[in-house]
Amino acid sequence: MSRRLLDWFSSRRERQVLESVNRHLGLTEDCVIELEKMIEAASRGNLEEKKRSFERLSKMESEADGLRRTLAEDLLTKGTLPPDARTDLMELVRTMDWVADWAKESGRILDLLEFERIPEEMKGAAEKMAGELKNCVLTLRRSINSLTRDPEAALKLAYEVERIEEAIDDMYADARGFFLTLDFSGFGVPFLILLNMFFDALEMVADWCENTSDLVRVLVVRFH
Amino acid sequence: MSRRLFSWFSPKRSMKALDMVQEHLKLTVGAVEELSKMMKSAVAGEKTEMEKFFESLSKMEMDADALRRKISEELTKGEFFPEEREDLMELVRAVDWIADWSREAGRILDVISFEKFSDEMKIATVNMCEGNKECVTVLMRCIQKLPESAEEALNLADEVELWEEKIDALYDQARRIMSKLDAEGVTVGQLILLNMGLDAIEMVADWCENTADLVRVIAVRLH
Repeated sequence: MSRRLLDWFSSRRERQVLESVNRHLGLTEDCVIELEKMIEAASRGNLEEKKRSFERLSKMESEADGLRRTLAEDLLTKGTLPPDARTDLMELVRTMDWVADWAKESGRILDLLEFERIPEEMKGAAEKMAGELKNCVLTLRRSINSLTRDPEAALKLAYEVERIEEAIDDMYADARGFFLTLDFSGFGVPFLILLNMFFDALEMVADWCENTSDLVRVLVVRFH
Repeated sequence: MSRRLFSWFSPKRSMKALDMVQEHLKLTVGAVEELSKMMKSAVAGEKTEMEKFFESLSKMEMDADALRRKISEELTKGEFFPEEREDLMELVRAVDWIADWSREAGRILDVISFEKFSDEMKIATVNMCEGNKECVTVLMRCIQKLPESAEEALNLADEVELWEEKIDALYDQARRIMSKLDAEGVTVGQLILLNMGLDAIEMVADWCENTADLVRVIAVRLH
């Protein structure tokens, strides 16, 4: 999102490409919001809703993938953008896409788990992480949206993403602690391996939000 | 890997670097193929064959590593623009991760005994490795197309991504089987290693996809 790209945005040309980027951002955000809903449904033992929620999440992630592919083709065939700007856009969308990928991965693992059976404290830990993940991705989107209008605000919001990611790291540590302190005697080893992977996947959603915010910072610095 | 680079590519030294990149790709594809053969031998309980394929896989990965180092040296000597040098290095590094993860999967397979696992689980892991073979082969075509046609390279990058999604689905299936495994006779350690093995096999496909993404970035930037 170099100077030239910003000029290009302000010139209001080739709106189609910019709209694709924004739609992709929106879909990524929706994936994380849907993941939170899926976790809530799983915690309550509402299996029908859990299933429907996972289907919605998968559909959104797949749409985001499709958009990313279209974006590459659009940049190639309809491009008046300078090479640096094209690279910036591709990299930004790719890192955002990892957020959606890991949200789907979390959903995939959750789909395998009888989550309703796990101790309430563990459910609470997952719900708390999911709530903060939503906060994290919403902040990230605001940061990206500020890039073209107010780079300083984009930078501040990028730091806020990092702060939230650190909070999620702490929550993840608490959740792992429960593996040692709560009673999981009624669960098989494969179940516990997958439950651990689920929490890891949740943390990866936050990690990729942070990686994307790092990219925002690079773009702001380049812009200035 | 720009058009500029390839059309301009006449000095002998630069040609040598490009040949080395092609050789590195072939070694990587070979490593993925050996992993698939190793997997088939492992589930069939053919220990000696399995060891043979693991040795061959390890050798290919080490050769690829050594070649990558030589490519770095060659790129500093060759008549490249800094951007082109960076593109080639990044591309080779990404491809190298495919070989790295193939060997990692091989290492884990080497210590797991598949005897106690169900046929369903054996088939699922073999299918994942077969999927990786297809995925890396398409990736090789994708990289080879990059200097000729950005459009075709992008189409092939899409195909790599579709293969990665198929492997993701197979991974999901394997984990589903694992979640219902009758753990009787299987140690906790074996289950943990099985899980890590599946994850490593999936990482091979993930790095094919990551490399295809890099091809997209290069194609979009330079064509």
